[in-house]
Amino acid sequence: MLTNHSQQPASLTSLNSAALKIIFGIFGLSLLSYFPLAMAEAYIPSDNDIVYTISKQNRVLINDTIYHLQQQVKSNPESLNHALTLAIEYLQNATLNSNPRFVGMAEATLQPWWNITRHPMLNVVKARVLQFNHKFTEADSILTQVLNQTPNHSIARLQRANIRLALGQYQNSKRDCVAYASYAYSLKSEVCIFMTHHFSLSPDQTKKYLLGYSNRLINQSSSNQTPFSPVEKNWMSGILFEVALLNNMQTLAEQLITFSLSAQPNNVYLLGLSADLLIKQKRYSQVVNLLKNHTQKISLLVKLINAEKNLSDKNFDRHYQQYLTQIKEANFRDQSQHMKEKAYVTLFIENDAELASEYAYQNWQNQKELSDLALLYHCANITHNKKMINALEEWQKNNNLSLPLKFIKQSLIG
Amino acid sequence: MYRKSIKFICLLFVAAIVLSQPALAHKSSDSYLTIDATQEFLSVTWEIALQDLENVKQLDNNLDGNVTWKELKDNRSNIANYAKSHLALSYNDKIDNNNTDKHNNSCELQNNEYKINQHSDGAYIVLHYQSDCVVNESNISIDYSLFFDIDYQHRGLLKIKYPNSDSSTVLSPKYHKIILKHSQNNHWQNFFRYIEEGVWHIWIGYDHILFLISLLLPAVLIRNKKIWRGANNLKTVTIDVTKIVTAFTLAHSATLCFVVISGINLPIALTEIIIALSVILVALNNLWPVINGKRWLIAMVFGLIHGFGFANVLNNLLLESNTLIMSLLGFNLGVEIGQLAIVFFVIPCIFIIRNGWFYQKLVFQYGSLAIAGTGFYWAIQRSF
Repeated sequence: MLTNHSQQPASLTSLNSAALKIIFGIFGLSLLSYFPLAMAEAYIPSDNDIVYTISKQNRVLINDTIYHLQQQVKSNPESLNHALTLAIEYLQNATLNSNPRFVGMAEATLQPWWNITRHPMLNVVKARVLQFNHKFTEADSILTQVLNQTPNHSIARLQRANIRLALGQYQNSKRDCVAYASYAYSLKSEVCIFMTHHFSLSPDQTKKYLLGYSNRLINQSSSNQTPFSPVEKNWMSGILFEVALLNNMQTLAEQLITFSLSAQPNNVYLLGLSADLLIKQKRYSQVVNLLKNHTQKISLLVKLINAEKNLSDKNFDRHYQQYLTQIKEANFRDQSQHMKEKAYVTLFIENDAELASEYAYQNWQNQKELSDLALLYHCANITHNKKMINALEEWQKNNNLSLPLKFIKQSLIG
Repeated sequence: MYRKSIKFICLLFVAAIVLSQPALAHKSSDSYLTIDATQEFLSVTWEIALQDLENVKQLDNNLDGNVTWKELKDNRSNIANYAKSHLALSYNDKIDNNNTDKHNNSCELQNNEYKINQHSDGAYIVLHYQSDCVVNESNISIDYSLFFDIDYQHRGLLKIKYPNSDSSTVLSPKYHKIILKHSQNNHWQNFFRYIEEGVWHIWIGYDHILFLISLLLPAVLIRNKKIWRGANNLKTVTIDVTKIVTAFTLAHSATLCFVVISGINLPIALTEIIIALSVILVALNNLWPVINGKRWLIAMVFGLIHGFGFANVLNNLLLESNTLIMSLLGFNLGVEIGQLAIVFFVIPCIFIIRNGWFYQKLVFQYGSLAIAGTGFYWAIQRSF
């Protein structure tokens, strides 16, 4: 969810844009000139200096479950089941803590069996690893193989539904959700269908379903009748939140996110959604309070600096530079990483719509969820770039949607 | 019991997979490996995240949740040895002419320094190793395997510093071995780099450019009974220009090579003054032709002096004798390319306008006067 703070006439916008480009160009250059100095040089601390604080989230050794599972794997190195159990625990931690190191650990654990192709559970875990790495097409292919062998594999079905949504294949995703519902009917299956189907509903119908699902989610979670895991709750909340925001139901969106954050106040995904809503409502101070301790997470850092820029906060320079450092480090490893964040900053902080469009388009090649769609649309709207507009029209056509794109723009962006 | 655990696994897994947003906001595991091949022996600087090391080596000796510098120092040799065991540097012996066997010899790594550095995802230990591998060995290979057995998505971000360039790559479980083809890489890189330097230094060498232009200005004119008039055809002009440029190039290349190879050079100040004088003389020769038909000779004679000027520049750029020939060739070629670019731009322009008053009076005569004045100014400036 992105927020557009500029709603001036086009001519003034372009003049401002040019002037801002110059200002930010100079500003950026001056920042970059400090960059080599500001980058930390290696140093020798004093003996009593604390160089590293072990966080409970990251330290594997004090997580009893993982430690226990690791010992089991060490004792049974030939056992795929033990390895799978450990890998799944790693992936659970990766999801909850948004930490890719756990994904790498899961992959390392399964290396001795990685090339086995006919083990359904192993394939599902492999697909999940690929999904984490945004290799959606490969993940889809593996899950299709699983479903060809075992059509009623509910986990693979639900997972593929999510992946196909990320690939922008709403109709295919919906088919998977419907199939999932046929053998695992629950609120989850209903939300799954809803996430692929809401574009085809009228606004009144959408609102009706949204309210219904949200109430059920909150009530069921509170009453422990049908307990959902934290990950499941986050997933459903996230979907309902995005659709609520799309339909300008900000009060419901806020209710959903508050409910979710109360259980997991440090969840990166939820914090990001919350920040999007607050930015949309121009509650920048609250964004800063929410995100100021999460600057190591780039997806949150970009929203923080957006808020700080709007407040002319004294920390803006420092955090902007931190963003540049993180991008530089990420680019060393892989130039294609963090395209969405680059597009966001280039558009809303550096005010370079043309460059932002390139990043947004590259991001779009890889994933086509609602927030990616909104970003691409916003850039297309500013730059009138034919490539972008064609991409959006193709997406609409492929998904049999007659939804006017301005509808998306209105609701997702400011 | 077994069914219960399978159910439990499935439940866990459903929980794990349901979320469609793999929002991995944290940075992945990387280490930063810099191989310094600019000195006689290879050295290695390696930055490894403490949070990654903590997974394999207990750093927090007193288990209070904080790792101090002292605790890290106490674990220093453990850490250095662990890291070293995951980095293999080796080199091949020179190939025996009688057989094609290559012998791999390991490079010994000695840790001699360690510090802390901060990256976006926290503190890294910085380990510095000195190796006994000589930089100019035929092929040095690097085999990296840190953390791959624990985190398959860990990457070694490798930077190699050569004397004249840097290169970087990403080491992964699939691509964990590379070969430093040090000398071979540098030859071609150096060659192209020096071409670039040659072009650049002719284009910023205004005295050389003015000298060349002074020689070219009369190329589109013919002097007959003390009167300048436009040349008849482009062919004549081209032949004349070719002679001038070739003579100039041969002369300055000869001096340049002589100076660089022998090490004998004129004092810089004297060279610069003579170059300025050459500009004056050639410009004045346009106005009062002493040597008319054989401007190529002027180009050759003064080209020798200009070569001394280029040599001063090139000597500052050259660092190693094993790249000398390629560097010299590259630089000369660069200068030539730079000159030709000027010629190809100037000659067509002045050929078109050669017949008019504008060119013959204004550009040629007054222009030559202006060039002479500029040369005079330089000569004075460089004398003091």
